Amino acid sequence: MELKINRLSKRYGNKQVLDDFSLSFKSGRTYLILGKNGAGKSTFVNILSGNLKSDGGEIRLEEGGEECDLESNCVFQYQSFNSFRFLKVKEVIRFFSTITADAKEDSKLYELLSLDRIQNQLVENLSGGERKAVSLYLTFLLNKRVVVLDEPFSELDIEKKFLLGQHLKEKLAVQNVMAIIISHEISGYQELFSDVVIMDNGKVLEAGKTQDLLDKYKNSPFQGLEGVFHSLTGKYIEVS
Amino acid sequence: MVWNVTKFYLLEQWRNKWTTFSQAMAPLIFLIFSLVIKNTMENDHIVDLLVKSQFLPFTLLILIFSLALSLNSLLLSEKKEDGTFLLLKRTDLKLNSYFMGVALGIFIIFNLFLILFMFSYKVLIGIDGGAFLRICLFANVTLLCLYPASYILASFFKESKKVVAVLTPITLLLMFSITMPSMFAMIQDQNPHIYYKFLFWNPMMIMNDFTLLELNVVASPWLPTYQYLFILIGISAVLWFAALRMFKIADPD
Repeated sequence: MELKINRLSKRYGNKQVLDDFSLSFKSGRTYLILGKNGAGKSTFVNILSGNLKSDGGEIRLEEGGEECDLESNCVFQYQSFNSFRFLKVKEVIRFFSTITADAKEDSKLYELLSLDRIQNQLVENLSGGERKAVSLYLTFLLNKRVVVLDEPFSELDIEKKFLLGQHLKEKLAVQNVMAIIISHEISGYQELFSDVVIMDNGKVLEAGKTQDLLDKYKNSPFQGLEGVFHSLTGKYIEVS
Repeated sequence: MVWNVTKFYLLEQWRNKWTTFSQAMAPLIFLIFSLVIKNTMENDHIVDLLVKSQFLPFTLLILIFSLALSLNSLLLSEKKEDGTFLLLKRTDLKLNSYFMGVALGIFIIFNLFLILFMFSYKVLIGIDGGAFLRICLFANVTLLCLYPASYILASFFKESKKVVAVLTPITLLLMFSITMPSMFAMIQDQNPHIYYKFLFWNPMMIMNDFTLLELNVVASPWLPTYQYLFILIGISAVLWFAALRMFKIADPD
């Protein structure tokens, strides 16, 4: 399965937030989209999710040369989960399980995200981090072939971030999922991403395999992907 | 799937019971006033007339308004705001099934309140069993007619707070368009029906006239019941047509 983005553009007033954005994503790979605030990452995800219309360009999901339906194959994890505020966490999960034919429970992820601890709490009473955890669990519960995660690690504690990174790496590889992750949190997760896309001012500055980019920009004053980002943009990425 | 949605919707409403019960507060106030005047006024004939011509019809009209318009338009705008529909679209649940499930939930809540209020009025002023049933049925038809208007309302506003703000003038428009002509007619010593041709668009007027007929407050309605039903079906069709064209599950930024 391949997701082809061709010359996508979006403008807000005088600001060009996406400028001739072209990329290709493949199944079985995990992509990190890295950029500072305002680089166009969230605009791209909003267009991909159908929440926002682009001014131009095309998005096409293909398998064996045939076009596939993006909506039924793709799931988006939003930064926070605010729906069904008066249901308990376990009821929300049960509801989504009953309305999804291929729903796939993941007890390890459930435990990792500490959902067992908050399962009897109303969504209304959850903290930002806990809502994020519910949102992340539901994203994988829906069991789609294209998964887009928006800042999945923010608001989680350090231990959970590490364990989650490990689990996602295994899970994404086993299920042959195409994962697109937007995150500022790259420190310690480098191994999770097979590919990296560096964005700035609505443009793709560089895209390629993580190791290739690390080799190409090894002389940067910073280590790892922070170094790659700095070499390309001259800016520092805010790592949390 | 539809019944599943209904079950979870009712569970959510039960947990959020103050919002749900607040929809029944205004009708409840009319019922309380009826109780007070029943126990304080001595002239039973006037009490019966007041309750039958004012308090009972308004209890029903406000209940219909609250459940058909207010509750659903708030829910729809909230779900648009928090991205619920976009998430549901990624599941195997068809959004139409979701909307039907919610509608079924609202009808269940409406009928619980309706029976409760009607039964209270039956105890208070005595309502014939047949009239009780016909009024309940007609209230359901009116609710069904007005229900799509909640989708139109939710289409206009991106935020639920704005929906709340606009509900008040709509209430005034729908309710006072019934009381004002009655008052004008009374001042001029005429039948309020003379103004009804200007109010045919208001399902509340139809519900009000039907209720007054069933409670023997008026000798004859403005139009026969079958014509009222045709008008309600027509209004409902127009509202559904507009709702289907206007309502979007998310507002593009």
